[in-house]
Amino acid sequence: MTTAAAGIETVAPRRRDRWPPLVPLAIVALLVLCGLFAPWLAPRSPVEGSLGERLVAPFWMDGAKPGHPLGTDRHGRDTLSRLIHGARISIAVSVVGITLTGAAGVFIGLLAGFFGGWVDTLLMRLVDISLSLPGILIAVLLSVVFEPSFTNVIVVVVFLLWPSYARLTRGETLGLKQQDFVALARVAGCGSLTIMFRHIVPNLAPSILVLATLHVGYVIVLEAALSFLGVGIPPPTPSWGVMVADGRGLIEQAWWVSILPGIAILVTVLSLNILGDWVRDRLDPKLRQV
Amino acid sequence: MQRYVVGRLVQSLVSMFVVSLVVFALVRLSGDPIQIMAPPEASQADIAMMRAYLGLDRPWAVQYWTFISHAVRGDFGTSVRFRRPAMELIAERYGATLELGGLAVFIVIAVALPVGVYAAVRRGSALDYTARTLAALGQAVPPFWLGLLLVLVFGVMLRLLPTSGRGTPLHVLLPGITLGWFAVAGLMRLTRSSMLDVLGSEYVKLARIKGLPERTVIWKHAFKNAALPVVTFAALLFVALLNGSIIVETVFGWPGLGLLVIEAVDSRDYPIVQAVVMCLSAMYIGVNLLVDVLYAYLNPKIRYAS
Amino acid sequence: MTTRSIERRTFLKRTATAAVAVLGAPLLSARAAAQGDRLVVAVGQWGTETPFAWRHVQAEKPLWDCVYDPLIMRDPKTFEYRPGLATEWKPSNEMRTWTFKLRSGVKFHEGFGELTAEDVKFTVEQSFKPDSLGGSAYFFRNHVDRIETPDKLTVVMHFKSRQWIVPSLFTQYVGYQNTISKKYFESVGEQKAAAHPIGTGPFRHVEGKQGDYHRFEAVPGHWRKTPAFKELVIRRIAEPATRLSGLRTGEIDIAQVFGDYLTQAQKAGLRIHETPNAAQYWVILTGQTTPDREDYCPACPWAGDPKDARSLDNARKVRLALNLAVNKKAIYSGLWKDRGGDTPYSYYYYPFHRGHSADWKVPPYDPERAKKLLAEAGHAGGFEVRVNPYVQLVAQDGPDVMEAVALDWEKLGIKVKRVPEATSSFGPKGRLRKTNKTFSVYGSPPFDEPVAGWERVIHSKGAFNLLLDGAYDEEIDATMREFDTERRAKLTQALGQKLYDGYHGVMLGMKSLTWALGKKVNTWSPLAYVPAETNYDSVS
Repeated sequence: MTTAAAGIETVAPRRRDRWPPLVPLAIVALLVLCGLFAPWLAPRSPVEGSLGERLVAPFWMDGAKPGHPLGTDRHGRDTLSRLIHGARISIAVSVVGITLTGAAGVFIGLLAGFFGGWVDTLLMRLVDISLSLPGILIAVLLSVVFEPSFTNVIVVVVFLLWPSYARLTRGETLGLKQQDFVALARVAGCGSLTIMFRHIVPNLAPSILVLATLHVGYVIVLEAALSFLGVGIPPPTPSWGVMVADGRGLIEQAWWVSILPGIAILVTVLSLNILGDWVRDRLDPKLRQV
Repeated sequence: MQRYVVGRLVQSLVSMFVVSLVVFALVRLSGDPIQIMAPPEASQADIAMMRAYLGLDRPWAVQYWTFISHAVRGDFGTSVRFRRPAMELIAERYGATLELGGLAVFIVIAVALPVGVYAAVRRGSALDYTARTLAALGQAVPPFWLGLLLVLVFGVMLRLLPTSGRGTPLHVLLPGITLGWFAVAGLMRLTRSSMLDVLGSEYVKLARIKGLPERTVIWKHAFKNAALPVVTFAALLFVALLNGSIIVETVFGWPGLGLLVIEAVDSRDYPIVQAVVMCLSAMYIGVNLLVDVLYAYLNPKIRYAS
Repeated sequence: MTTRSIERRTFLKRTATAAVAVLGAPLLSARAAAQGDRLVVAVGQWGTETPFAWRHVQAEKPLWDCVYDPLIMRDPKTFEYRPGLATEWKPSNEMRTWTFKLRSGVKFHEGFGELTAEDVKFTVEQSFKPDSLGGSAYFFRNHVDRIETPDKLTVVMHFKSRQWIVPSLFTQYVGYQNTISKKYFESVGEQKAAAHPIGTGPFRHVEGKQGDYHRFEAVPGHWRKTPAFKELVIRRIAEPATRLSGLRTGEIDIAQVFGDYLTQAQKAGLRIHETPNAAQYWVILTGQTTPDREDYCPACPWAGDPKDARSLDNARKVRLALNLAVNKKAIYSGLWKDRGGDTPYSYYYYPFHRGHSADWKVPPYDPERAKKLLAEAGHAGGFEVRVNPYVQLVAQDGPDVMEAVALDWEKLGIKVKRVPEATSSFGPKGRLRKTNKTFSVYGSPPFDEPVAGWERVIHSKGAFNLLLDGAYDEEIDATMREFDTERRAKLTQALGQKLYDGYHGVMLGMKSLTWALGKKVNTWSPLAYVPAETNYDSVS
């Protein structure tokens, strides 16, 4: 794949492009806020409910009840509170999952790209093997061997995503290690590890960051899929995925149970992707391939 | 080049071997099929007898050897649940999954490619923004949810399409769309960015200066160069869709491999799980191998590298 | 594939009618026998899908029962025995020998001749095979001495010891012994016979795809009654929402619905068919077992130490508290949609069983008293429990019910940890008493006599532990050994009372099972007490 160095946009970024798109930024900020302050923000407990208040409608519909602005779910639990706490879980899963994935993937990609040779071959075949195993199936098998839990979900996320980071890092490293600053570092007497971590990694940061931002949305949707199959976060913890899966038989009767968290996922992922695009455009237009 | 190909081939075989070990171990760790199938009245002695009969009481190493020595001949054992050869069941079902995956790939390519190309060409236009928004939407909606929604709208409310099962061409439409939806976004973005890069290149500038019609510039010159990563993506996409079919088949009751294997996990039907995973992995590794060889052939740098 | 797609299309355009009555049930509808057509039934799962008596368990019944006739049928209202393929069944030799006389002139499908005693003998003898794991195979393998066929229509079974339970194994709905054709089995071999079974039933198998669907055709002039629908298709659709969609569009005519799906079905204008009092629900409080089992937990507040009378007494208080803490009326209206309630019962002791007592009331909702009892037992601060909210064969709304119970318990200060695990892995753990003290919601099917069930599920040697193990072994054994029906009934009642008084489970109530019927279905005679209805021949 040729990279045309010249001829890409030479127009300087306009003034307002220096600022990230505001609406998506606000949404993500709201998300983070919910995640951090959920217990104080949520009007009620996300896990307590009573059958007498099942499937109460949101405030603008008939049958609404005070105290449940966005209605209740199958067990009478408050939707709004669950959405707020769900943000927390979704963030936790994405942040923890992607951090671990990034760490593992970058490390392996570094080794492969930097040392080359049989190390590279071995690690890339590892990537192949990992990619060839059907992820969802592994997730189900794992949840059978170990109980469904937050940890299980993280393991699945790492398993599914680390190859992208490994490949990207390897590709970039291959290019970077030819550059002058690496040669200089060697001449200066730096060991391989130092070169890798102090010199190469910082240069990788932009692309990794972009990839990570784009993956957050993917992880949230993945968690929803796992919950649908029954191998996600165990009840009664509310995650948006669990909420969508829970209400799936009720779309006509009580649409808010499933649709509201679905909208939450949609808006969040959209915002994250737009922000990710902006980050990428700002950092280096050449990275558009990522 | 020869050495490269042979080397890659050997690596692929080793990869398959590792895959077989992983799936064997995972499946055995997940539990005992006899315990699940045995009815209330079976005593522990009965269950032990049954296990011995099926060879499940032998040490793992022995079981693995049996498994792998038969697998290379295409014999994946007999399904514990259906009491028929696993390969036979797969042969019955894979057609349905191929049908589903095939339609999904067709939808993905038919929609994502042209939209991606034109979004790149008319960068910054309304089309571009719409396309990117739709792409983002596509990646933000959980597939199973979309599936149920589609069934509700097109099946129940509008009565246009059947709600489940397989039979007429109409039956495959909703599942196919659900399956392909997620990938459309990814391919669209990739196409768009590939095209953007190529469109800015000297090569394309030259073609324009030559006065070639825009259409030719876009498709004959720009796209062909942008196509390689896209083709790679599409090939791997097909295999990825096979994985995604697990969820879609569950929602729609589509009698394909995905449904078969999920239920095999549930009933600890080792032979089927092993067979399906091995087949899917083989396909993926095989496609990868082909793509790598193709790349090597096209790229002189690799062709002559050690 | 093409044939099927054409048929699917035409099916969608037709309307089905016509009526048939099953033995003992009323109704030949006025709109009888119009264009007898295709009836489509959707079930969620059908087990291992094997049609053979010596291999299958409850799960396969909804699929294959239509192809067979049972030896002994049941009255749909009273559940009593009625003649089926067997016209009489008599014990002799102090119940060591059972003689069955068969109906004459019953034909197997596809011209494989008439039913003879040889076929019954052949069917039962398949249970002797070491890999036969079917519902009653174990019993026959261990207890049958020999089977004789003195003439074409008489089967004589000799057992190694006295057995009163024999007829039960051949009955409709409860028994598994569907008679197959020896000639057919021997001529095509087991694999082919499994893929395309032959029986004497009101429907015959035409074709099918494992795991997907099976198609049957009505047998004209069947000795019971010719089914109203010419064709029967049984499809497997795991997702309840999808089944409901199919019902609403008319692609499916009959499917089981529960909870919110039931409400949606009604809103969509579908009629509901109800089997009253089909299932008893209770929460299994795991941990009450024998010392040799991993689940044995004398320290658990609800189990107690068998060597310490005070501990046992406190444990009983705790169990009663767990019972009183649950708001059952909320479950009845919120989750069961009032299809079920607090009919008095004891575990596996249905109202139709002899000796059933109306005193066995479901404990009321009294959280205050529950708190007091917990305090008295020394657990005012609560304790931790594990629950598995899984879908059980009969209790398909298990997850919702378990969550409701968990929420009620949490109001008492009990910490509930939800540990979801599917039947496939949890079931075997239950058998091995290795669940790590995890509770679950259970829905029971009826047995011919409560003690037949108790022997399997409340006995330390039984395959399951669905209430407790060990405490009543002697009583169960004594009851099983009692061959006089009257005395046995008395013993059964006494034990039923003890089980009730011990509050060994958290009793929730008795529930009806409900099916939604598409517009093509006019009538379907309901059967009492049957969780897995299979009498599609009586749909019209």
